[in-house]
Amino acid sequence: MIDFKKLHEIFVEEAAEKLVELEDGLLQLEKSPDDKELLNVIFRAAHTIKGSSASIGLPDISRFTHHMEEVLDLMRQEKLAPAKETINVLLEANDLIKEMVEGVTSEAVFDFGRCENSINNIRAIIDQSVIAGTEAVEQVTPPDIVLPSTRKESTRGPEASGESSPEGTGDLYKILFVPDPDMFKRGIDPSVIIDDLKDIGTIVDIKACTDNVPVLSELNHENLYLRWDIFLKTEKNEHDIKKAFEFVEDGSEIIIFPVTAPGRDMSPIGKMLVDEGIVKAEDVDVALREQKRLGEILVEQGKVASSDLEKVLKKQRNKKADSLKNSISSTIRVDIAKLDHLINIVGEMVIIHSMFQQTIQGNSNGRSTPERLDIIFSQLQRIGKNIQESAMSLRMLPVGEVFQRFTRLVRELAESKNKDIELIITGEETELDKGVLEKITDPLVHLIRNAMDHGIETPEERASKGKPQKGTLHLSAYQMGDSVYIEVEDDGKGLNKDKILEKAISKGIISSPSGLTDDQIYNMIFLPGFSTADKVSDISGRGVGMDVVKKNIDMLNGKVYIRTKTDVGTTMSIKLPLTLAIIDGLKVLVGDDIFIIPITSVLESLRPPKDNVKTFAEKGEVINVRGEFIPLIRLHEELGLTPWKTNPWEAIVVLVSHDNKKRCILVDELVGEQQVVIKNLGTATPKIPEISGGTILGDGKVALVLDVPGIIETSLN
Amino acid sequence: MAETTLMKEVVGQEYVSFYLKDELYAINALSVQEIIELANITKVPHLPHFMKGVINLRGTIIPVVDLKDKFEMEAGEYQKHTCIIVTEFSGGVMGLIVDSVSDVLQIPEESISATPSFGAKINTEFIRGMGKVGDNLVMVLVVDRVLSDNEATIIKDVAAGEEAVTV
Repeated sequence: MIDFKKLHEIFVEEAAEKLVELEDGLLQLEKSPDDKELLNVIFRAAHTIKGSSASIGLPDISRFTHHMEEVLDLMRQEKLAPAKETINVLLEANDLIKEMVEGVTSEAVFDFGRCENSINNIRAIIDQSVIAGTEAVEQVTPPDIVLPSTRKESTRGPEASGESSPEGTGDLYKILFVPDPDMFKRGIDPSVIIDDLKDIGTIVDIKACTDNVPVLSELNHENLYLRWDIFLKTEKNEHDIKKAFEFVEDGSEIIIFPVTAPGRDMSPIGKMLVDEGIVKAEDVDVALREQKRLGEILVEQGKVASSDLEKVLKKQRNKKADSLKNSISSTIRVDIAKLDHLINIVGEMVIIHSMFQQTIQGNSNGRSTPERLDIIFSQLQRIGKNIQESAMSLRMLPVGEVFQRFTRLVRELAESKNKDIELIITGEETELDKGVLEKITDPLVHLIRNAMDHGIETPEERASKGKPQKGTLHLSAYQMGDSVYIEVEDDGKGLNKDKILEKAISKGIISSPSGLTDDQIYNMIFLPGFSTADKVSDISGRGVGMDVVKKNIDMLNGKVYIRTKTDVGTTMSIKLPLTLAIIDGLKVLVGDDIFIIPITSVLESLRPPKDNVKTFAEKGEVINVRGEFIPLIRLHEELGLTPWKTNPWEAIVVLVSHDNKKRCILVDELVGEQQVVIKNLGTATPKIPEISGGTILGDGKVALVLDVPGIIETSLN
Repeated sequence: MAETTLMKEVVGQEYVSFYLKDELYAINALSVQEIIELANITKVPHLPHFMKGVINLRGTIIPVVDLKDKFEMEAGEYQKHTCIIVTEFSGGVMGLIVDSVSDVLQIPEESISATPSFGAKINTEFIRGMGKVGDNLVMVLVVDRVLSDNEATIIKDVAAGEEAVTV
């Protein structure tokens, strides 16, 4: 018994990967339609999905993907240009496959009927190209088959021309027959099977594909290299057709599906009109192509209120957005070089191990044992650090994985908003912790939507401002120091300061606009329930979002900065710590407790002379550090502890900075510097603003890690 | 099927009992992960008074609650027998500091009677009822409720405070 579940899992993972490849490829293809290699990549992706889905018993997926593959094949043969229309249809198909693949995991039943529309669209494209292009398909006719008609005729179908069929009756099926290469060795002649097919119906068209046939020198005459595409018209059903292949099923790939020729996807009324000679078939075809979406028709007929339709459509779109969210899996792809590096270090570890053993056994190579141990220890330290760094790097992923996904989002949004927007992506290779990357996706989606919806103007508006009609959205990532910056930059109209102020006053957030810096004003857009959009659209402007964006980024210990200029654009800059789990920390003592201050926030530590400690009425205690007066925070007061020392000139002050705010933190003593692993304090522990987590010290005790931004902010109140 | 019914019967009956002063309490054995010695507790500022801080449970940090503090009983020094019952509940894992662990008891469902009223002063939300074991009365607790709504509000307040600051 084969474990199908396991197989399905493997398939889902592979397919998900291929689908991303497919989608990215299609989007790129639109920009560079002449890229042959790209087209091949896309084709192979589709082909792999088709093949592997068929081989593990998911016929729906393989059937549907086949249609897609056909279009791609036509593109490869340069019979079809990758026009926007075509790409749209393919992207839509890609989404359907994605849903079907997801359905495999969730074991949800996918209604194949939903694909019909997409299949029809695809067929329409194929038919168009077949009509337009010359028939150049290489046709090899097996010896005993008489080719009844060319493919062109067959796909146009007899019904379409309104004549009765001279070639038999029934439904048209397309059969893909990829025989087992070893078929000859088992004494089976594929032409016999084709003869059998003739018994159950009429073969309208047959095409042998010779692309697998190797050059003569490599040709093994005992192998079967051909595969066949057969169009069969029969009154029998799929099951009966399958019977003809009964003896060759093992090792062969057989896919059977009904074909809808253009005459067939005509609605019954269309067909009747043609039959009665009232309209021409072509006219019906044209009408069908112009057919409106089902929803629109229903609205026109008054069956559905347009507001209800809006709601459902919104739901549909949300579903799409959700699928974007869920697309990061719990597995991780790691660059093999990183793994090799890790294995190398582990190798060194093994050597140290044997060195250690030798030393214990008294074989010290002339050195004294303590000396030897000292060497071993220092090497062990180095290796330990290397292993740690290397293991952490396994968690790092290039941001490009997430960025690529936005190409699609931007394209679709731009289309729906009737805006012309180009997305420029830079710094895809910047690496971020996988955990951070996952949590940053949602906020980014929101920022991008905002920029496209509110930031970038309509082409007309842009033209009137003398800007290029095409808006630019720049998505970039770069590393600076131990932070990673991700920026969403648009060249739109910029934030409107007056509007924000007006809104803040009307919402009762502030009472008067005076005394606020520009930064403070702009940052108000991150308050819950704040939206400056005049009109609530389905993309953004519901007033939820920016606060959630900020919350999500805060959770990652990140920060959002806004840079904006009227009619020049807005940049949302997200600053994230490079990695969450391990930080360099400064151990400080307050009373009996050790605390960790992340070294990234520490500027210096000092013991100020008594004269430099001053108290100002409005500012409280400050310390003069080389002429700069910096407010003092007494950590023991903030945290309710009993310190040993209360005078700054006897104790130590640690100068920290965050977001251009500097503070002196008063502690009893410095203990030392140490790399620490930050852990959360347990889900049942309430969140304390001053504490970002805990770490476990060498003696097994927990030490708390201070949250410098949190401390600065609470001290302001 | 038969197995699960059997399991269920046992579920309702096994309790870990412990003492706070000389009163006997019990919690469902299934919510008990382990019982450990009193470890080094790290104080965490701004927590409710009965949350004594956090401990290191083999690399994982968990909060500990002093049940005597929680029940507003007179606090005493921690003794030799004082230990921490590590429990799992809907909100995560937490340690309960108790004076001593007594036994694993079988308490039939029907012998647990409704909580008597102690007057308004004492919150009885986390008490499921009184069980009778031999001649002894045992207070059956609901672990999920030990951190009651009140504390949930504190948690929310802390979060809200943070929000207000980020403005």
